[in-house]
Amino acid sequence: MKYLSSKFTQLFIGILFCCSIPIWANDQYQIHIATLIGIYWILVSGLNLVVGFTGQLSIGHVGLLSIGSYAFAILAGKLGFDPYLAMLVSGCLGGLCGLMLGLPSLRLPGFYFAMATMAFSLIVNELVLAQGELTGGGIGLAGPLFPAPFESAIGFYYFVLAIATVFTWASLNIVRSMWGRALISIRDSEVAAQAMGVPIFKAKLIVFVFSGFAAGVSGALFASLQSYITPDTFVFELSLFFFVCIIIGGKGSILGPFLGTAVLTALPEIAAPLAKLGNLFYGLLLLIVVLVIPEGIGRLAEMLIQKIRPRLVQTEPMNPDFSKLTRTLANHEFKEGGQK
Amino acid sequence: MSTTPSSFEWEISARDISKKFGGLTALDSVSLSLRAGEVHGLIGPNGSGKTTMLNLLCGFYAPSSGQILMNSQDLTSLTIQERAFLGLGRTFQKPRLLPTLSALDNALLGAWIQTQSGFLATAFSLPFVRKEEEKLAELAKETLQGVGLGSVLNRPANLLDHGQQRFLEIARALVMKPKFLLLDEPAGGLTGNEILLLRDLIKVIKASGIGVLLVEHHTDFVFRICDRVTTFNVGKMIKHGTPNEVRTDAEVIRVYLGA
Repeated sequence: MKYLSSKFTQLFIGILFCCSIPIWANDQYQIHIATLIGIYWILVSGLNLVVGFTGQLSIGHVGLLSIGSYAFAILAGKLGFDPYLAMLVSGCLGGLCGLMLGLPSLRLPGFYFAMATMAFSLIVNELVLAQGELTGGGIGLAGPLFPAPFESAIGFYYFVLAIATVFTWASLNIVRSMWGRALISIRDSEVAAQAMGVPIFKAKLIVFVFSGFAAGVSGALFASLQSYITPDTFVFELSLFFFVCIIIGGKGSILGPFLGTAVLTALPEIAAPLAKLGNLFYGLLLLIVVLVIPEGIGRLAEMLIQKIRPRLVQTEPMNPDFSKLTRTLANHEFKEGGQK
Repeated sequence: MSTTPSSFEWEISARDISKKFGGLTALDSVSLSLRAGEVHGLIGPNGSGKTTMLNLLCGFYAPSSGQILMNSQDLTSLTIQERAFLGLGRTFQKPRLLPTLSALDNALLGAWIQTQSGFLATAFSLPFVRKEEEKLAELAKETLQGVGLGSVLNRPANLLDHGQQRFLEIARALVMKPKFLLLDEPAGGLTGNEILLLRDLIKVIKASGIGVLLVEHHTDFVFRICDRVTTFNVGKMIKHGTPNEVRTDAEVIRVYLGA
């Protein structure tokens, strides 16, 4: 309980900090980057449940992002839908595509599942190019703005922040619950998960659909932020980028992948000379993390403290309380009513 | 040796079970039954098919022939998960825990089959979800305190010592509120003192009306706490009976116990 509340305290402090960014940011560009981090994080927060908690290596989420973006640009731009409604539809479409991708592929073992998701993202890009009348083909589509007060850069930033907060809160709720334990059991010990009655395929599918919804919403916001989208925007490298954010952040953490997303998005932009070396930079950082801190940067502080002042684990003798156990077992339902 | 008749409510019977892996016959037409409130020991040399039998009972393997019944319900074609819902809990020869999660979270995983909360309700942390979570956490905590892990509730499972990990697995299975508990070599690697605790623990579990299958190599331990004992050798049953009958059987002594 204490741990739980401290998690939410961290979230609260984080949000306060994010709220203050427009006050001390130097220019519009920095706000643009902060907004981009928020939009990427919406996608990564969903993907993190799939990769970091359930252990399913999806490298195809750029396809879902692309679907959300194009759905938004077509609905809100071409067809003149209300942008909020268009964003919601984009999310649902992302979820639906997640379902259609997950149904055949989530039964595949790790590496093959990764390949299936990669193939999916490549197919999406080809379809976007082929369906020129709908998507503008190689020329692309304009991504409309949201209405006031979210049409300005700062207004839109706060809008993204609010949505990102909701997704962060939702994923925190999931990982601290029965569902979180079930997902982690799929990642760490499938046989234990089965023995405890966890429906492995169904649970994977549900969390994958959720990540599709997040990617769809993220795509809608992305189209609006970029103001113009083309197939070149949704290159496969972007998919790897999301994946790397989670690996660098560390599995089984929410703060870590968030820091990963923020650092990987911001550093190449802020440190201008690095911008051209973007991919080199990701590669190098990934190598360092995998070799030096495999737990991820989310656990960096924890690890340093442990190095400097190791906390020794004492062996606690077991002192069973059998009368308590007898009482607990006596409350088991099957004696009264049989099976449910 | 039997307990009161009223606790014979539930029974699992595996009938004429055979299991072939390719050309290898791991089990050859063996039968075994578990009853509520009874400890059934399963012994035999390495490779005699004890763990195979346990895996068949809880659905990790499908039998090549034969039938597994729980009272009148046929379990043979049910999945592992469906059998868990019907009340089969198990532990593993090598503890299968979630290494980074606390002992409490590990035990709570056993409560999955009692969880009603859906994914979306959980994402929005609706009040009934929180209430359910608290109720299940209380059950898990009581169970952990009961088996002797009350002082390490928040310690990650990978920092527990071996004996504690074994007891945590048993606690996790008990949180499932099982009708039957299948223990795969629970005494393996335990210290003498821990084995005594395990013996008392199994007695408490038995007294609560749960049927226990005990696959074990420590024959002293088995003969001391079991109501019935079955001995396997190379996939065949060679003796079934009370501990005394099995202990003094010439064939069992020849292939397993030694003179």
